[in-house]
Order: sequence, then C-alpha cells, then structure tokens
Amino acid sequence: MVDAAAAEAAATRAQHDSCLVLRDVTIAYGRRVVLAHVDADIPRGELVSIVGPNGAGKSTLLKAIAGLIPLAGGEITLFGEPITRMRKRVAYVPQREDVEWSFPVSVRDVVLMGRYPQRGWLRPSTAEDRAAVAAALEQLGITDLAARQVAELSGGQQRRAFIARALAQESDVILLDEPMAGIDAETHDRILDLFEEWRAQRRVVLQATHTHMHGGSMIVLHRRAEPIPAHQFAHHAEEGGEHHEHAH
Amino acid sequence: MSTLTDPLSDPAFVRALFDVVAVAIVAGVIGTFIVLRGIGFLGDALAHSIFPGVVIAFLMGANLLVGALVAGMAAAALMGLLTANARVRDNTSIGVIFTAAFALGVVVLSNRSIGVDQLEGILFGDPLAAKAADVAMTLTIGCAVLAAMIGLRRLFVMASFDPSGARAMGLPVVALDVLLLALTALTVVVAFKAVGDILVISLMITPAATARLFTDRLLPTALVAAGLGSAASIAGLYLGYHQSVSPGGTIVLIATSVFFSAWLAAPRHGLVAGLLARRDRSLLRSEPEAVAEVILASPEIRDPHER
Repeated sequence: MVDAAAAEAAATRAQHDSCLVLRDVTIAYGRRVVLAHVDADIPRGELVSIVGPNGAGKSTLLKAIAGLIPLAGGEITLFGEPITRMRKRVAYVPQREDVEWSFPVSVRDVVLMGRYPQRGWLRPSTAEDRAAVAAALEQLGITDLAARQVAELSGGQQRRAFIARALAQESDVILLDEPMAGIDAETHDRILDLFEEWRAQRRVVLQATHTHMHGGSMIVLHRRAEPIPAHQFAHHAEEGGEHHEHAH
Repeated sequence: MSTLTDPLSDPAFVRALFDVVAVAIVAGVIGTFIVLRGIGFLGDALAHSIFPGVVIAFLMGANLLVGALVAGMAAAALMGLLTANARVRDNTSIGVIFTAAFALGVVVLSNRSIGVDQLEGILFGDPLAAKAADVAMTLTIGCAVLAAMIGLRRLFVMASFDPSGARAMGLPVVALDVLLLALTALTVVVAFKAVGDILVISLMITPAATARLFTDRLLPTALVAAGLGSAASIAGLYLGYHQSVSPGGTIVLIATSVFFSAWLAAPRHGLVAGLLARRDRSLLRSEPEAVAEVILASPEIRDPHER
C-alpha cells in the first residue's frame, strides 16, 4: 500500500513539470492591495530573483509563497497541492529583522530546527539528523561555530547558520528573504555556490533581493507610482535569464 | 541547628515547604521563557487578573485555587485573543485588561466583609495556611505545567526564536503563544497562595533574570532559576517563621537581593566584572582577533615623509 502511494506521488510530481505555480495571486493587508494577479509557472531547478524597489512587495510575495500571509485571491500550489499543505517541502530563510537573536540557541540548535518538519516536532533527533546537520555545517564552513550562541556571531555567520538550516531541511523549494543583505564576501560566495548546487539538484530557489542578481529568472515588481524602465534589467536577460509574468 | 529543625515539627510548616519549593521550580522554568521573551508585564497582568476570581471564590466559600484557576484561564484566553492579533505584545490592551480585572475584584469586595488577614493572604501570600489538598493541587498542576514545558520545549524555543520560520515550517505559533500564556496562568494560580497575587510575578521573573546573568544557555538558565527560586523560598519561609514576618514578602526580598548581588558581582555579565575588564591594562598586550590596515586614496597625503 505504502509503495503504491509513493509511486503515485512520484508520478504526480513528474507530471507537474512546473512544480511551483502561482495562479492569479492577490495579496492584501486589510483593504490595501499590495500585489494583484501574479501568475508564474516555475519549473524544477529554477533560480528566481524577486526584484524591485523598496515597498514593491518583494518580501510580501515571498512570505505569501511561504504561507505566512493569507492570499486575498488566487492560489499557490506545489506539485499540484496547495502550498500550505506542503510546508515540509518548503524551506524559508527569514529576513534578519524577523529573528529574536538574543534568544539563547546555539548554531547547531538552529540547523537542527531544519530537521523538525521531517522528523516530527516531538521526536528526539536521530543519527541521520545529526549527520545531516554536520554536513550542512561543513558545507557552510561553520563547523567550528556549532556550539556558539547565535547572538555572539557576526551577521554573515548568522546568515550561514540559517542557510545551513535550509540545507538540512532537504526541501524542494527554498525561499530566501534578502539573503545577500549585510554579509561578508565569503558568505556571499558560499551562498552563490549553494544556489548553483541547488539548481543542479533541481530544487526551486526564490530570493527576494534588493540589488544583487545572479543569473536565473526574475519576477520584477514595479511600484505603480514609479515604474522601472525595462532596460534597467536588460543586461540580466542577456545572461540567459527569462522574464516571468508580473503584475501589480 | 534547632533553628532549622524546630519548624519541621510543625505540619503546617512542612506543607508550606513542599508548596513553596514546588512553586519555585515551576515558576523558575516558566519564568525563563517569560524573561527571554520579554513578556514580564504580560505575566504580571495575568497574576493580577486572578484577583476577582479569588475574591469571588472566597465570598462564596469555595476553594480559592478553583476561583483563581477559572479567572486565570479566562484572562489568559482574553489576552491571547488580544495579542494573537498580529502578534502584538500590546502593553496597552494588557494594561486595560488587568486593571479592569483588579477593579472588578475591588468592587466585588467593597460592600462585603472580609478580614484584613484574609485579604493580606490573597494579596501578599500565606503559605502556612496551605491545607494538604492545596499542596496536592499545587503538586499536580505544577507537574503538569513542567511536563508540558519539557515536552514542548523545542516548539516553544523555535516559536520564540524565529516565529516566521516556525510558521513557514507549519508550527502553530499563535496557539503556542496562547499555550504559554495558559501555562503562565496555571503557574500564577498555584503560586499566589505562597507569595500572594501582587508578588507572584517576582517568583517567576527575578530568579530567571538572575540566572541570565550567570549563563548564556537555555537549560542552565532554567535550572539555575529553579534552584535560586527554591533556595529563596526556603530561606524566606524560615525567616518568616522565626521573625513572624510575611513569608511571601521575605521570599521576594531574598530573591531580589540575590538578583542585585548577581547584577553587581556575576563573573562575566556583572557590573564589577565589566568595570574590571575596562581597567585591565593586560588587555593591551594580548593578541587581537583582527588588525587594521589603512590605505588612503589621496596621493598627496599617502606618505608624508616623501615630501
């Protein structure tokens, strides 16, 4: 029975070539409509940068995909299922302002949190979890910081701890809110390397980003009051990026 | 030695001893989360909100703990509802609720007769008045709260540390916030007998705040808080017994003086340690973690010796 169900699930995934789908997504805060009619079909192995000026709703769109903001209209699906039912398959790296840094947790604790959704919140960690955590720490170059409290770390090191958490979660979709903001060059390079690796592993990576663009696709958000000239993003398209539908 | 052993022949004292230690352990653990979350005011408000429940139970001749339990749960639910809205730690709405609850207690009391002793017991605690049934209820509720905190600790940590990440992973963060409030209310309910409605928050916050001065980690903080709270409670109970002063007030004063001593003298985070480090000249000779290299762009001042 279990095998049959698994095979069916695999078949369903294979059918959905575009794994992350936004259909006519509308997001509102109270009566203020921030974004409307956003459509996107994002296939596996795609790196998508959500770009645009301050206040255009980059973070908001990412949060909606993470299931943190209810949709005023439309739907977001992953492998054909509503994304709110697929939370285990989505890793989310929040903006640094959203984290209570003074809370006493170690770097290893943070990365281990990435294992909770798979394992169940009340189960003790297994050898497999510990191995995944060790591998993630190693890949981000923070093995020697594992026992340190996150409050003691630099901004770049804190970011790496959270990216390691996303890595340990082994999810199909990775959402990052301003991952490149306020970090050192080495962390920047490691994140770029990881983006490439995730693409090669056919995961979907979406980042809300301010200034940095690193190839791949884009969702460009405009403020209606001050539209961006299209040529501003032209160099990016030449690098092989493709435009996704966007709207306001 | 008889100073310590004599009171133990009094069953009321032994009951009180069990009661205050159980309360101090639970309050220390839950207080750790209250302090780390910075929601001390919310805990205080919960404590004051049980006042009308206790007063009404007293006037009806019912068990005070049951009255406190009903009022505490109602207050926790109401505050949870208010704060769950956009997760505001809204001190304004909390201030409105708890003062209103306290006022309700005062109004209910105003045209009834209640002895000064009894009112003092409610407000400032009277551990020696605890009956065997009260102690049993304290132990039962205390164990339940402790079990919930231990069992769900990972969830509470995740929801407190990174609420948006926790929600993205599917954790019911708002429900956990309300649960933390409910557990706080339960702790208040069992603790108010020992130190009184007004002082109960001290037993939750002060030992945990003291523990934070000694350690940067969660489990040691909770353990130290529980230990300090227990020690202060035992000392306060003995002192109150021998000197015939309010044990509740004495417990709080002892815990507070320990806090101030730690604030002054804690090894790393204390005031004295900070001042000593500032004056320590040997720091100037030790190996730094980083060095600075200055590279100026303006050629005319690049090397003053060239000219």
